[in-house]
Amino acid sequence: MKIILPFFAVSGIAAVIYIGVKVYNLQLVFGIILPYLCFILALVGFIARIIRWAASPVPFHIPTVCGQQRSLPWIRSSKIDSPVTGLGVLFRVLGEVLFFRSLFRNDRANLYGEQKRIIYSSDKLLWVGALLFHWFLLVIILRHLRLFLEPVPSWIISLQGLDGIFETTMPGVYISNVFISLSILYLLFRRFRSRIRYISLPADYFILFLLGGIILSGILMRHIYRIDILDAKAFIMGLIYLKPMVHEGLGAMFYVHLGLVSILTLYIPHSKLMHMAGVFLSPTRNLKNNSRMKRHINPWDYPVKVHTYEEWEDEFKDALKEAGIPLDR
Amino acid sequence: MDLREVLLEKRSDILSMWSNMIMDQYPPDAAVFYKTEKDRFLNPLGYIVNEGLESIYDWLLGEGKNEDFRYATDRIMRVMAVQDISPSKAISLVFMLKKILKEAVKGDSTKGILDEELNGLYEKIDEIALVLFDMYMGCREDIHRIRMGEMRKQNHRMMKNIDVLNKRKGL
Amino acid sequence: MEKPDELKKDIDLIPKKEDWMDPEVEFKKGRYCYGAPLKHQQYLELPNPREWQPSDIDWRLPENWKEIILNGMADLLKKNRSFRLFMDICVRCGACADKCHFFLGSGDPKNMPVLRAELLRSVYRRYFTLQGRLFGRLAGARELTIDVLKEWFYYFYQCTECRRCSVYCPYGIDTCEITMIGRELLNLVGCNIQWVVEPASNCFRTGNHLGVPPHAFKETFDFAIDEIKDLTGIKVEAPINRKGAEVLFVAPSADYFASPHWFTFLGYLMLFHEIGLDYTWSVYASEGGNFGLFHSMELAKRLNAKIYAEAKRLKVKWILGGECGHMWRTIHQYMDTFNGPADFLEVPVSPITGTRFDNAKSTKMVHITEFTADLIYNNMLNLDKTRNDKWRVTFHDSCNPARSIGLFEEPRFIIKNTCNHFFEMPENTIKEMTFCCGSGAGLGADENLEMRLRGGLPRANAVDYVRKRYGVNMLACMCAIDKAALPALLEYWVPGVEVCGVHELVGNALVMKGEKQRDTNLRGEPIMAEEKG
Repeated sequence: MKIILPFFAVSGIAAVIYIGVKVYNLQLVFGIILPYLCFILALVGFIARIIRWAASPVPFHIPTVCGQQRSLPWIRSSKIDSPVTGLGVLFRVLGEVLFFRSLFRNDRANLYGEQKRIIYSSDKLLWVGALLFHWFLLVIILRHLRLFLEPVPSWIISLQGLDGIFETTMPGVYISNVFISLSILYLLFRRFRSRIRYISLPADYFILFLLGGIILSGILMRHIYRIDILDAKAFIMGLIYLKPMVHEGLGAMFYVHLGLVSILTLYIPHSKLMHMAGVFLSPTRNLKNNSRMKRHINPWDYPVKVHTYEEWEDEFKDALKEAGIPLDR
Repeated sequence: MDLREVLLEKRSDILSMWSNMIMDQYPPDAAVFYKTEKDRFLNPLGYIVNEGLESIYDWLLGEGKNEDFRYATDRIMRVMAVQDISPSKAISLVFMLKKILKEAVKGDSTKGILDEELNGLYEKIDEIALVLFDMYMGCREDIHRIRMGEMRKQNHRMMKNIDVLNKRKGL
Repeated sequence: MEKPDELKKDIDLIPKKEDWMDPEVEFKKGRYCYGAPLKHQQYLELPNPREWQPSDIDWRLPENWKEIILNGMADLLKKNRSFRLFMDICVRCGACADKCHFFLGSGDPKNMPVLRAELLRSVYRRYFTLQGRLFGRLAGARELTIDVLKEWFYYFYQCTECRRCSVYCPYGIDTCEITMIGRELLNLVGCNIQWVVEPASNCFRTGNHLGVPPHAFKETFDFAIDEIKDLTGIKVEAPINRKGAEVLFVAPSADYFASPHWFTFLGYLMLFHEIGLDYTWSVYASEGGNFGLFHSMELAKRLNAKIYAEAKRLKVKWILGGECGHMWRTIHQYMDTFNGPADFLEVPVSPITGTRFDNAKSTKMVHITEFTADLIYNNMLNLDKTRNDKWRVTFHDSCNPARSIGLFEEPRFIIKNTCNHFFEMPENTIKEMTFCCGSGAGLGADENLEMRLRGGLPRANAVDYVRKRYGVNMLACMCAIDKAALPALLEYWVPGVEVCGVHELVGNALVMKGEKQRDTNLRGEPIMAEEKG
């Protein structure tokens, strides 16, 4: 149920768009109104979410320290895992963002035990899968920029050339398409495994199916239901310059692709995909380990009821006298 | 080929089947972890159980040392004694082996394995069960003893000091 | 003939639920901590005070408990970015799942950190997000019911706030934060445990967790002084509440009363005497360990206030802190924020070596291992390592000094300079990857022993490894909870390995000026291991 429902939701959306365009000629709805609507809502939602995060304060200084602190000068401290400088924090956060350092951390005792054999650990697999997925997603997004920019910057063209370097077929297969398909299949199938299945929610499958749908429609568009790339670009430039126009030459698959991307965009602010922004704000990662060097202020701090020394001395006066402990009063 | 040779040959199959049966008593999510994580420090429970099963098996076939057998079975029982299971369930792990053995030698009966031989093993398994039961009860007693000891340790020095004080005052 | 698979049916021990969304909790003896006694709830003026046990069917919650909890959630979301963020960004990748010692030891899937957080997150989705309100269960949202609340209690008091999972999370989601928030919420309707509330109340009233009054407290010092005199022939001073001393020393109060903490206490006294430190103890602020931290930020602040207040009253220059875990989490990450600024103190400078502790220049409190490591590095101590030859030592990084401070090398430096035989446990079980003792965050109650033994299995297993491999017979650590919990844990899992504090080893090795020939160690045992044979 947790898996089937999201699958049908995504296929349903794709089917509605496909039929809508193919049979009822609803290009206007799915090609223009839907993207605009989704984009605006997503933008508002995204900003609102960031503001809500940023508006809630960080009352306490709670970095998770993963290395030797800076204390005595002759002890070598860990600059990144226990950062005391802004640069250290920057490296730490960038390490998380670019290389998923914490996921990589699964330092296994592979060589221990009598046999001293190497054992493949599933979590390194997760690290590889996640890294491949995110990096190639970036490549694909950058490649798509050629449809959004005029003139197309030369580095995008080089990137595209590099990506399609193995031109064995016509049109060439993009390396990124291959790897992102593989990695998303991995990310999906690992959720079917027992332990991860237990913790997975329909939303987790929904996103994977949605991304899968986008990738699939994109690949289909490139290799089977070919569309004229110039038409596509003209259409997108029309959207960007607020002069939207329906282009007849674009097949239904294009609208499916565009529609699914729009839905994804709309969904971002309401989903775990916000981790793309949240990772920068995580207080266990973006704070320095300097809480004894510099006072951290809690903006909502309030006075609390304490047991003062005077009250305490009054209560235990006799006992203190008996013990010969000096009194204040 | 006698029974012992057959069982030594099938050692790893039988052990993994046995281990899987035990792990499958856990919720599926945990079971998968216990079965697959090979790092003995990250998966102590899986490691201890497998080590224990191996030594029971070897001991049963007259291969293992008594000392190893005691160590490993004691560790298994220590794990079982703090889990959410009843004593009978904890001991039942050794009886699983009977059924697995029966299954394992079924195809080999033509090779002349006698029921008596098998029965001999079964009797030995029953003995092991008794040993395990004693161990299990020993663990439970340990827990109670530790619990009691701990209550004393929390203010151990206070109590000791009061004793000394009383003695000084001649009480 | 039955197939092995079919046999599973009669050994189906633990209920298998496909879906975690249906709460299911059974409070079995040995697996939960007792509820807080009425007297102490009242003393601390906690909400909804009553005699209560988690195993009661009726928890006697206030009539509008649901409203209280939901308002509390809204409030905490507003006040804590960590809470809001951690509710929103988890992708359920499962990297944390097998990092929790309670999951490893019990196999209970709700002990996977991600799921512990989901217990709270599901309620957050239902009441605070659009998709949760619209799609309910499909969006992973669920109603707040009594059973959900009970489940919270069960699992938030099955987390030792050790922060191991947070090390592995790609977004740094910290289950300790989640547990703290969950406990704050439970407190709003008066659900807390004896082992947190009673010591907290005792500390608040008397200054120590057992509620021992000042004269009896003083007596324990006299006993310690006598013991040291018997051992070394030297009478050490232990000034209490002395005004104008240079340094205020604060230890966890278990050090005065419990075993084996006591020997660490002796170690402190001997060290301070030997270096001639101008210092004082305090009865009023005798507990550095903060049981409030296991309860709520407010109670943590209330208890912690005593330390600065006492430093100010006694007009000391800076503060030195003893071996303790959560105490040091509070001091390192919270104290300055709670009760600072400590502008009435000076930046700590070791009067012996002249070393300035710039790493503590704002909070003005130095960890004893930082202080002692500096002494040793500067050759200020005469140490005879052979007096610890009886021990083959390993070091357990306590969760909080490890993952909150990064205090790795200082204690190791001390141990290596006081012992000849030191062996590390496997790398993925020490330092930032250290396994918890399984009894932190208030779970160290003896009624909770089975659960603690499960949680402590990963740690004990690594100890067993070094015991078998190197013959380790002593586990050094620097946390009062460790010292209380690990002896029981090791007695069960790894008999033959004892537990000590780092400064017990210092006390043993320390050659004091004018001391007599020592025949026994601080424990009163012969210094040399008996000859084998």
